Amino acid sequence: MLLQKINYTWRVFATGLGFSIFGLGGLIFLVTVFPFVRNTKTARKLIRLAFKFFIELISYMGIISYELHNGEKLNRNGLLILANHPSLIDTVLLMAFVKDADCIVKSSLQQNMFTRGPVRAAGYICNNNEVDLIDDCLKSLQTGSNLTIFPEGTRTTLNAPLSFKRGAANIALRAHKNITPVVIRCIPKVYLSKGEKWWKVPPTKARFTIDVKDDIDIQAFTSARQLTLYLQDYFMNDTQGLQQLETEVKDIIITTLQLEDITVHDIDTHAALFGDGLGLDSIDALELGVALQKRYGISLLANSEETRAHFASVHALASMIDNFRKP
Amino acid sequence: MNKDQIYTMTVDLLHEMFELDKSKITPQSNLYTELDIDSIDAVDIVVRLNQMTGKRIQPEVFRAVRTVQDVVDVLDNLLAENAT
Repeated sequence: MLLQKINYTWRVFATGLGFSIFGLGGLIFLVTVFPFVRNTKTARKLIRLAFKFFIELISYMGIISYELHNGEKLNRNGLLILANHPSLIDTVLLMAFVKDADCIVKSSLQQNMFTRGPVRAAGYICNNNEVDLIDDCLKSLQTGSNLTIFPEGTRTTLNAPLSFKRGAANIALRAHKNITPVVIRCIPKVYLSKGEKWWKVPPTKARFTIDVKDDIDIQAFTSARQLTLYLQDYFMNDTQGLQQLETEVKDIIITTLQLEDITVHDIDTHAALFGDGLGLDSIDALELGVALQKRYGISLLANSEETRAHFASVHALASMIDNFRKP
Repeated sequence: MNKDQIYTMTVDLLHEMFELDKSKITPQSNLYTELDIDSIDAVDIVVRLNQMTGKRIQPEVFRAVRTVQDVVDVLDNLLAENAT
């Protein structure tokens, strides 16, 4: 218990420290390096390396961990990379791995004294005019930059369906460019997400998975609306589908029951929770039931045959929650 | 072309460009809040209307447009200029 508390306090402190380092690092770069960088590619490389250093640092500090899957798919030019946006960190995570990355920044970042140096040196696209924005993006792809877009336009709203703007789909269709989807998952879901205060860190360390998927062929799509709907579904299935739920349930099991030395990867989705499998007992089941009720708003009847069946495995629990959530 | 014809043409255009259901479109339909037209779509509409009429709709004029009827009025004015 005490250890947990110390860890929690440390992560609050380290998150604050992380922000400070990021700001300070930006400032140092601003006055020492960026006045001398004239070449966009050099500036982008510097930013990528600085971001890489930053995420290694905060991983080392124990406030996040991350896994990159199929990263080799990013070693190409002129990609149109679309990613979902669960947390503030994922911009940094993604930009640390995409070479010659171009992205769209708020026009305020072009004015902000801390960010304007790097933003201008890297030639990032500014979104002050929506009409020119599309043309700027098309030009960027033509020059071979890897254009990285978060089609949600902002961070994901917690517990709501994904909502994509149609700009990214418009760019893909106009440039005849296939889409490279990157699915970002964050467990627990609440680290530096929209509307959350930064010091409200989750009970356990935030774990990120960056999954580079196979390119989506856009040839069959005729309109931006159609493509946007497809993309929304694609990302929804991957981030809020059964697979995501199963990982969440495992995480809830670990945190509620304070299973030390076990990670989500150690729990077999189909293994029995009680007895031979994970070895939980009836008190564990009660605690878990309360936690699941709180998290998903499901109601479970104690001692019913049905409830017992739901608690058979992680898969059974996740399927039950999934059914409950469906309209 | 009278206003009714312009209206029918506008509805046909919206249907063709954005796969909108014609029965859901009324003169009072708001392009942005009801028909889910975004800024890129709006630019596309202006480009198409310019091509169709052979005239140039000023961006400021189209920025004031909210409903389907507004589009019809803009087109009507534009074609009236032509006549004089």
